[in-house]
Amino acid sequence: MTSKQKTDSIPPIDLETTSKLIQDFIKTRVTEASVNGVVMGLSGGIDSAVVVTLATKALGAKKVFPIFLRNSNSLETDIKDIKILCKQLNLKLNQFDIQNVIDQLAVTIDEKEVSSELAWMNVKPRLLQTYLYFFANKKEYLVCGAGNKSELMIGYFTKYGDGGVDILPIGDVYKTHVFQLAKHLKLPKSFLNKPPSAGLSEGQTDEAEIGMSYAELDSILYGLELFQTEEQIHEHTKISLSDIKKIRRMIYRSEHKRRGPIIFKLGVRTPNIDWRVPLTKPKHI
Amino acid sequence: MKFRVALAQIHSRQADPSSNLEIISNICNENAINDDLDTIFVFPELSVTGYLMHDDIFQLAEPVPTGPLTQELIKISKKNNCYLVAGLPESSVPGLLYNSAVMVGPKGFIGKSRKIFLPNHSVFNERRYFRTSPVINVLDTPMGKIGMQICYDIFSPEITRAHALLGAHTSICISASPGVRRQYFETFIPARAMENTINFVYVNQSGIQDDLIFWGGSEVRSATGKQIAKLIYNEPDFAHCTLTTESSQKAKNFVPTLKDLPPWIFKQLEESYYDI
Repeated sequence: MTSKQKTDSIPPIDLETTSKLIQDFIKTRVTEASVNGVVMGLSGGIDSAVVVTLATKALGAKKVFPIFLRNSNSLETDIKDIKILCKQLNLKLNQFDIQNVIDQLAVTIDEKEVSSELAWMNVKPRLLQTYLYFFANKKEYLVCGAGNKSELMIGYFTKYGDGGVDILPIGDVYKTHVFQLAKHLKLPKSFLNKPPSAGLSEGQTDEAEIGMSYAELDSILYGLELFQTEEQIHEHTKISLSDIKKIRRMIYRSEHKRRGPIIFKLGVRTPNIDWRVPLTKPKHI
Repeated sequence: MKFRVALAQIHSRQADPSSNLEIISNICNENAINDDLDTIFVFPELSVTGYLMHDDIFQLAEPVPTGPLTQELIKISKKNNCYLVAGLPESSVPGLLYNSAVMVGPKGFIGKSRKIFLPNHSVFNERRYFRTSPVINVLDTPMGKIGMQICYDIFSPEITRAHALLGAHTSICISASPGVRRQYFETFIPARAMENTINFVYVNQSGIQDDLIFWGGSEVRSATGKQIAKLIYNEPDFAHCTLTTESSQKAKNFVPTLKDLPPWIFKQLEESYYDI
């Protein structure tokens, strides 16, 4: 079976309307938070390229502060692509070399065994979060993330790393549709042609790590979104039951990453549980 | 009898009645037409307080019509010599809340209708706060009998049917519908008009509250289902149009659905409700 057949099980979205709604969302959140713009980390991947394009369209180039963190694993092709995109959007790119910071951490933590590998992979996104919030605080900006629905649902992100942001404009957009949005927004072709990678280690690709294509992943997630059973998804997509079960397991295992810190309810009304207020402050308060 | 309907598709501020009353007042003031036709300005569901108030609702709900928000709506009506339909949280006895639509006019309070179908699925959480209305009513207005319903009520054809059977020539549905529901509403709006031969006015919230976008797209259908007015999607918009009280009568001559409705259907509906 081809990826195409599986992708077809996700209905298309109206790209123009979706693009406009996301821009409205970014503009609204910035306005209602009474801040001046957004800080964004650029990875060289398609997600952050789509989001920075939408943010720039929504707010204007002067209100978008793009950051790229260079380290020993950074690919020159990614840096080149980011520069081309920033030039196209009239954005001034802010680059920082964090290899020294990582090296210094390695000295102080002094943990090199295999069991530390995942912990080290998550250091870069968490350092990125520190840089993003430094400039967000300094400039009174929001931190805008680039996580998409496919990655969020299986927990393919670093908790309090790339997942630690103020807004996720494409957090309800499947990766399949992110590719389509990228074409619609006329992003440089290099963003469309490179295999998606979290860039946490050399040669890593998302699809190899997840163990299936995004087309397959999205077909499974879309079926689950519509409350379909594993058997119904299998019948519709021909994806193996074991792959479908695997994705379901990933969803459960990563639920803690999608929520805020889990608070134990003791009081009458509890933050994040049943003490609910609007995101914006009414004028009279 | 002719009357004018003004569709005021606003973006209400969350838990901020003073800002919303200012918006409502400005729209009535800027769009007042000084002629012989009565105008009903229709604002969306919970337009006075914003839809997503969350727990602030307990401070914002008020008795209708004696509460200050309703009294302010009456002042706006008197000042602009117009009729006004808007949504707000009503507290009946303290702590017992309804999601209500109120109608006021130059002579004061006309009436209210409380939401019957309170959604608690998907992104909705209305039964956390509101009590369901135990009745369907229509209002006696200077423009004849008019029914009011609220958002998810439209999913149940019985509400508009009851409006028609109670003699209303027009049913007004005020709404706060987020984007994913659009195709349902745009199917139901002409259907409710046509199946009941009744003018149908639909006014939705627009813009973003918290993480929801309300799709706007307010519209008016005549009693034969003809689209008389349609507003843009997602953003605030305004338009007015003219309806007649007679159009409902004329449509009944052509499509006599109410005349042909046998009473045994209601009995069977009731019996089957308890069978499932």
